[in-house]
Amino acid sequence: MKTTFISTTVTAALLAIFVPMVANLHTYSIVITVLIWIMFGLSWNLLGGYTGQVSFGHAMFLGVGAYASMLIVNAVNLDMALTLLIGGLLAGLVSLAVGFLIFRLKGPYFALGTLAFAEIIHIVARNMKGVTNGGEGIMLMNRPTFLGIQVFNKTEYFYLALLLATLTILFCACLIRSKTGYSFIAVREDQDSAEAMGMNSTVVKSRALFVSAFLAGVAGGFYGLYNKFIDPEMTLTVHMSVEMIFVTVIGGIGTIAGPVIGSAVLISLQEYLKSLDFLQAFPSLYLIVYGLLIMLVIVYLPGGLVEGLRKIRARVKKES
Amino acid sequence: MIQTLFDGLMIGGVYAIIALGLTLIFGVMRVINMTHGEFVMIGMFTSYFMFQKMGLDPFISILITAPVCFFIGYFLYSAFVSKAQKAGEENTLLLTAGASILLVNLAALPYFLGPNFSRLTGEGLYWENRIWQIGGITFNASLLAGFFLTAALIFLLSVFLKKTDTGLAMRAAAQQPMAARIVGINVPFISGITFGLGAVFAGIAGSVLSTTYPIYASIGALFLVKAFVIVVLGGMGSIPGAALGGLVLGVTESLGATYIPGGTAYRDVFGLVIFLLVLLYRPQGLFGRRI
Repeated sequence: MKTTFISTTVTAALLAIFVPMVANLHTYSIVITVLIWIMFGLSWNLLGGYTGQVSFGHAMFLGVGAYASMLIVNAVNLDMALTLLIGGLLAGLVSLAVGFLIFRLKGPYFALGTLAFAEIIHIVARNMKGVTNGGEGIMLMNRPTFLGIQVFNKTEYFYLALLLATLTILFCACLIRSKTGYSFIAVREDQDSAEAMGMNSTVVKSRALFVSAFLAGVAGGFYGLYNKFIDPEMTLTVHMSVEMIFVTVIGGIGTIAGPVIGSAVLISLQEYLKSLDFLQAFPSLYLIVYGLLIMLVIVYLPGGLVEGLRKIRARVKKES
Repeated sequence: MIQTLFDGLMIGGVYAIIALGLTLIFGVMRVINMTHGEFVMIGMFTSYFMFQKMGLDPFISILITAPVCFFIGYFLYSAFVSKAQKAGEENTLLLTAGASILLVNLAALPYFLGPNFSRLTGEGLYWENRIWQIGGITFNASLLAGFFLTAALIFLLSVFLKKTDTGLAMRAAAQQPMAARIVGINVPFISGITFGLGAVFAGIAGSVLSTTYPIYASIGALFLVKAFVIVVLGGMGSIPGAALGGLVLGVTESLGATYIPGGTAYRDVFGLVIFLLVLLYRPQGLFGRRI
């Protein structure tokens, strides 16, 4: 607990000091994207990794948060701290309704059910022109502030992203070492035993979903405001849900470090592949390599990169 | 009304072929195959290029589509999916999701269509905008032919599963993988065959649809979601369920789009709502029974 706390704050402080010294606009956008995906990954991980409920529809919470924040900032330009909080709470509220219906399902059925929910919301968002402006999307019209400080250029967004990601990491680390967190893990490991110990598994899962949706909503709100534009295709598609799972599973499912490492590696990898000359000939080429790498990691390293690092460390210890 | 009903039945027939493949794969190896839609795309692409380059009719190029899909499916299973199976259901789901990214973007290379839309049209294409009039009802010719093809395929599949050794081995592997191994069935091999066969069904559907739908690299996602709906509707792993579920989905979409005001835009929502209702109140499916 202490080590997580210290290492996270130290890393964040180092990033805060050193990134602005070396960064240009391009590196800023990569770092911010990594930080955003860390938040998404951690949010998915609370439900999928720790509670064992694999959701294929987390994009819906991301989308609710993104649209809520965008609409609030455009309409009244409320402070971002409050806006993101409201976006997160709305996503949480949606999650309560979704959870009420969907927690009767287990395993792959649960995954398909969440996928269906997200797809319904996606189609509705595309057609409800009055609220979401349909496929044309919404532009950010105001300059948002966070606790009174204007947040508009990349440097300002970088500091805010770093702050939010650090808070999310620390929050998740504390949560899973609390009684609530242990109840999540108990339900994942053996639902029947957890019930026998007097836990109401549906309540436990709903809690996990609520917190997870809240975090996804906050991160989604930030994602929208940072991009200064949202449409259904960049917030609500299956692709977004799957990407959240990728960063978590490639990093290491059910660990705090997993989504952090996974996002850092996958997003930098994407950017790196995009920048390679021989892959630039066709836009889809880097995604082919990306898809193949994901397949290879899942086949040869099912515990993710965290497990890989652990194995290497164990081998080094044995040899010395 | 009757016209709308038949329109729904016709498209439902093609949905049913796609779902048949998915349910077969799920039934035998408990893998939810996220690449299934991409095999529909591969079928469409094969028919498209066979017609463009050699003038082959899409219904004849099924003979090429089928082996192509079979080998890609078999390879995908034996090289990747079988190895990820040990680590649990989520991993196979993610693996196939990764494979789907790979296949979509391979198809989006400029050697094929690039990121563009295309349609299968041209001189000498019998099926282009062809309708058949039967008893006052108009049928889209290629979908009607596809409907009969579906019926034939379902019949062949059930004969295959009941009468041939391979088919019996598949059912054994579906019911008791452990016991099947003990009596000497090569379960990984049978699973590979099943995966390939599932891909063939999706590919055939792609060939049938190639004359009516626009053709582009990422069209698979559309059919994947529909196939999920149908498979859950009919009960996962149930073959008659997949066939009936396909028809139910086709008719619902068609009736909903025609009779609910503003329904056209929400065409794809009707299926998903039924899907959720079935999942919530009858998770074993309407006709839930194992193959």
